[in-house]
Amino acid sequence: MVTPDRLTALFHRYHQPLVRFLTRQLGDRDWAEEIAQETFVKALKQETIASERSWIFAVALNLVRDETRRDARHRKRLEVMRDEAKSASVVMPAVTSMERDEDRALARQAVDALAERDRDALLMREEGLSYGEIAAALDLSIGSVGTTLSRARRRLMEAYEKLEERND
Amino acid sequence: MIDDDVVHPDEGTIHAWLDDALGAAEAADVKAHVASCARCAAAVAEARGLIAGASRVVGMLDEKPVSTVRIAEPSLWRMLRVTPARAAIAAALVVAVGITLTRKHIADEVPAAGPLTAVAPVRQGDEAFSVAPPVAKRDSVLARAVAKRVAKDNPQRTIEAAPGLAIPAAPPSVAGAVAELDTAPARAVARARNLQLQEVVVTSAGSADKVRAKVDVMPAAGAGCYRLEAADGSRLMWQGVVLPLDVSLASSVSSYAAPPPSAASDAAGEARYAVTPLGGGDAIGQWSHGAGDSLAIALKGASPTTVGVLSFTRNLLADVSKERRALTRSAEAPAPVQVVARKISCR
Repeated sequence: MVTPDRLTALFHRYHQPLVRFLTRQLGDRDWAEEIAQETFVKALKQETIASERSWIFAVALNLVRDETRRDARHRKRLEVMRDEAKSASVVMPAVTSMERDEDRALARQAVDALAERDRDALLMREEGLSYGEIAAALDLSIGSVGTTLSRARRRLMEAYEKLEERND
Repeated sequence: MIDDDVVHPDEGTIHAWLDDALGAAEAADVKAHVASCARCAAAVAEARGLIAGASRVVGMLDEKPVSTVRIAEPSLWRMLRVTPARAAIAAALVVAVGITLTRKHIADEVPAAGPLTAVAPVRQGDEAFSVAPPVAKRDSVLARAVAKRVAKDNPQRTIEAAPGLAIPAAPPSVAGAVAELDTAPARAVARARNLQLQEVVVTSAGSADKVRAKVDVMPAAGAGCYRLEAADGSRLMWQGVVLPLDVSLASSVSSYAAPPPSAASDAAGEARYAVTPLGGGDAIGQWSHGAGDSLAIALKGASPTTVGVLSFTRNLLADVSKERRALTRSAEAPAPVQVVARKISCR
């Protein structure tokens, strides 16, 4: 059983990168927070955690997949809620926010266009996971992580540039 | 993998090399090969571009903090009828509202302290702390969540609360090269606004010959480039903007560029944001994310400028109840953060 102290340490260390990773995966911060919570609850029930970072990211990713399979409507509902919250928000956007929204939409499309494994590996790497950790989390051989990442990066940039050109 | 320049490293190996993921022997092989093979050198250059580009695109997925432009409007300063004392008050409020240096507890990934300049010693646990005892629960997670809720409930009070605010006495003056600035005013403001912000102790190791407000990060900093980072090497997430708070400049500064990306993984120097005086003209400063979650600032012009760090977090926050649930699992309140400003060479 993971002790509360250990869990606290895990939380402090991984909560923020995990939420960012999940938000990038899902495009929804609230949903990402929920998955992150559930991941830490699972950690609490765990007897031991050997490679904690890859364990946490792998569990979170599995939760994402389980949930996506279980109820695709959930995401839709969250999207609606998020849009409602956004429209109710009083934040005054900066001058460049519209431009930034466009960039984000393009980036989202380009990331979504990646194969699942490529996307997972890339987003994990962006959170600083080592090749070993990525291999463990995604059940890859460590030797194939470089290939996976190089493919992911190339395809991402190709997709993004194509979308950008289409947008111009 | 490499055989007398006959077999070239494949793209995956090049990426692994650039990601520092190869063993020492293999990395040395790749390095030697790349040095002597124009084709592979070009492939490495391309891979570098792909790595940086992909990182940038991934970073675009993040919600960027959207500034509430009100704070930089000249009407704000007119409203405050800026005097040195009032400027200090405004600066305190600004930090109370905004500054959120979110500790990222990544003990095993602590970046090394910047070697570029000597840094004056940082004192901890002395009178600055006794003046401002830590609040029981000041976890930044909760602080941000509460800030969001308050902002949502009362979005227009961000700045307007300033004139009527009771500000505690000036901080104890600190002699010597280190200006240690506590956040008593910020915390007082926080209480007044029913906020509970993370306590932030700001320390400047820049040219600290003048300390005019407790919230100054870099009092009277001259032209040059600076890096702000946690004194203890812990990683910080900067959310907000750097704004010159110098009284002589305050009335002329009306706009600043968009806030920086909140993602800590943004590559150094990729995004630069200018601080622009009212009515255009030359930018008086520029800032960007530095490596290792530091914040890099370039100040231009000859006159010394006092720099504050603002932060707007409201649109980044998740639901309060969720954050509270999170807190039940992270009862440990983070220690106060000390920030040092180091002068670095301008790139």
